Amino acid sequence: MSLSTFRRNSHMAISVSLALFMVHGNQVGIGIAGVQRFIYDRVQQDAWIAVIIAGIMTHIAAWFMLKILAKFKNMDLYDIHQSVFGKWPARVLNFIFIVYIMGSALTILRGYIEIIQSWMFPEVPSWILNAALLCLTVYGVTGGIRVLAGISFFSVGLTIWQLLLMAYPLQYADFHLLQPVFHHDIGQLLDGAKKMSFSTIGFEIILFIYPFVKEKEILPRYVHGGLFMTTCLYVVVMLVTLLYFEGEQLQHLIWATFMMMKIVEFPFLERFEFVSISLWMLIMLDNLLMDLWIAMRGVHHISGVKERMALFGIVGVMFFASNFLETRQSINLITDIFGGVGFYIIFVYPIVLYVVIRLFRKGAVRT
Amino acid sequence: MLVHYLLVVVLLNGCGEQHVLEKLGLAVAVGYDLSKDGQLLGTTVFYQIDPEARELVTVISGTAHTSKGLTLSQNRESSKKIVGGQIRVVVYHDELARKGILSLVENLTRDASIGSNVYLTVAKGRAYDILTHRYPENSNIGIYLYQAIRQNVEGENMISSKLHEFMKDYYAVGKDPVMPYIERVKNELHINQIGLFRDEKLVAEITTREGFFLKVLRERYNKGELEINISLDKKRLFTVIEHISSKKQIKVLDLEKPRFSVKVKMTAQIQEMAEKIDLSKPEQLKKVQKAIELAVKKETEHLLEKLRKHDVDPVGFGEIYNIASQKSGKKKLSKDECREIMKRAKYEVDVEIKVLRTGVIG
Repeated sequence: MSLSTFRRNSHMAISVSLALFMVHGNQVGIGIAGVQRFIYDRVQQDAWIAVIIAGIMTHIAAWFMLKILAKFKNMDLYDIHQSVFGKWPARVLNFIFIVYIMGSALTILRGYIEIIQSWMFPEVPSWILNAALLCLTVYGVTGGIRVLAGISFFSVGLTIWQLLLMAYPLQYADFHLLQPVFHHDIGQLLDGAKKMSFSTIGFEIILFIYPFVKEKEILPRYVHGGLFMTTCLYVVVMLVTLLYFEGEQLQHLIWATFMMMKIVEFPFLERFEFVSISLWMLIMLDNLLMDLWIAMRGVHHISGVKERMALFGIVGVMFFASNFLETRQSINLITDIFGGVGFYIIFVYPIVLYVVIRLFRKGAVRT
Repeated sequence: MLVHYLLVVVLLNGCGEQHVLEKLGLAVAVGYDLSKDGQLLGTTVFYQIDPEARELVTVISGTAHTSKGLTLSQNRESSKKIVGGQIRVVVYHDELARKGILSLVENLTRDASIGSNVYLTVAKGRAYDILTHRYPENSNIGIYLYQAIRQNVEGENMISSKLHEFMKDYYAVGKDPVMPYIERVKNELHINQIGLFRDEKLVAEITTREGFFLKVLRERYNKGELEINISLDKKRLFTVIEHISSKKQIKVLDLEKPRFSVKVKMTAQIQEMAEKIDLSKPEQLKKVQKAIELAVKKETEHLLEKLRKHDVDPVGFGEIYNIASQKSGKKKLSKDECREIMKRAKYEVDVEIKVLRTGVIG
């Protein structure tokens, strides 16, 4: 048995119902702040259909992931790679995964800091925010998987109510903007759904938390429940965005969701989006924590370095790398890259892996 | 975890630029004019939170080439740092609005500190004259203006033109924005016109009375009232209807020679008749109903004719046409194509009015 199965005692396990919050919490991150214009760019008023298609794609990918995991009881993806491909190919694959996970964590981190800088504190240098958030992350990740599960739960619970605020932009809804419905062919819709991938990925964490989940046989329903919640959330946000903004107006907006929040006004608080942006830290934090936890375990798995040392190394690399991402263009570029790569890694690769396992490892179920 | 979270919050607090209330000038209203040398003349009305200040509201103005340049030049004149987070009304000089104001409006949306709930207005004459005038009854012209507009918009006497709504209408293919048109008459502000825009340029104005019919076509009505001149048994008389709620339905009848059917359904309550007519008799009521229908239809047609003459489309006929033409398999029209087609548009107006009540007497 590999190194990563160490310390797998009952006190390390997490309740299966928390998987719902972990999946949902980890999917919803920085993407929801401004993904709308990219989908609109492809399929205009049918963008909400593309979002539903993207949601269905997540269910399919998760189904394959769960099938793979069920074949190898108590293993995470790193172990599965090793058992399927052997030592060295597994190392290469795991390395690719680690780089990808770190890249998407970096995108989330930099994306959030960009929002803070544009909306609230333009004069604060990125490195300070970077350092502060990364310190917080180190502290959280060292708390272990149960802490991360708890943070996911609270992050979802404390932020989901913001959905109710969509009632404010809905007052300005113009239903002409959804017509004509179904005006794009399936190829275009799939293309739009693909643009969504950066915002829907994150559920791949089940590949890594699987060994820690208590009642694995009922895990699928919680995973799919979490995915369904995400899809519903995105569809609502997308629909309201389409109704609230004129198409060309939307294409100029970097963070359409926060622009919608600008219309929210309470008697005691005129500009709600500032509260919303601050709360976004919670939404973003559980993404960052899970990603770094996964990367940490990966580095530990392929190199044997102690987990805590690996974590410091990863954080150091991220801190260093984020200094190269100063401008809007570079952030857009990295988001594009990891969105595109993410599509293949999360939606295509599990199917490939499943086929490989079915073809070459008949009856190779190990427990 | 919580302690750490709080620690990060506290530590980061020191990093941002501090905004101490006593050192700020909170802009409430902003006005833009065209100055003589072609530059922008900006006027800002702002609050100062300062116990020692003699006046709580101050007005400052300056000239520059851009709106942000104005803020800079105004800051140089002011002992307080002027911030835009509380801006509620923006006033544009009509001369300026005739030249186009998109860049100015867009700048408001670019600035994250300015909300989407700001009311945009056009002024007859210079905004400077409106904002710097001393109104004996109102100490803060910014708030006064804001409340005057909001009261009318919420009472559905005026078409709303918030920053967001203007931008949305501007970007729409086949729809044009409108704005309240304000005017200072001695010591009072009057809002009795509506400015019609063609894209970003002010081209014409209509009265608030015509604005009523425009609002019926633009959006749903829930309350509001109207004095209307009807002819009954060859006599002309006035009646007032109130608690009007309306629904409209606009359909494209013909794509080739653009023809629209405009159906308006209204329910209302008669508040006043200038002459004694027994409304408890069904046939009398029916007659009155028919007469109101006819009068509303006439005024609506008149308004549509006027809009077409000025080549503006605040109702959004172009948008409806565009959807219909896309459904028939054509490509999405551009703004110019849409306007070109709308020039030839014909309208068939059909009004249906139901008098629900006649007040508390029959």
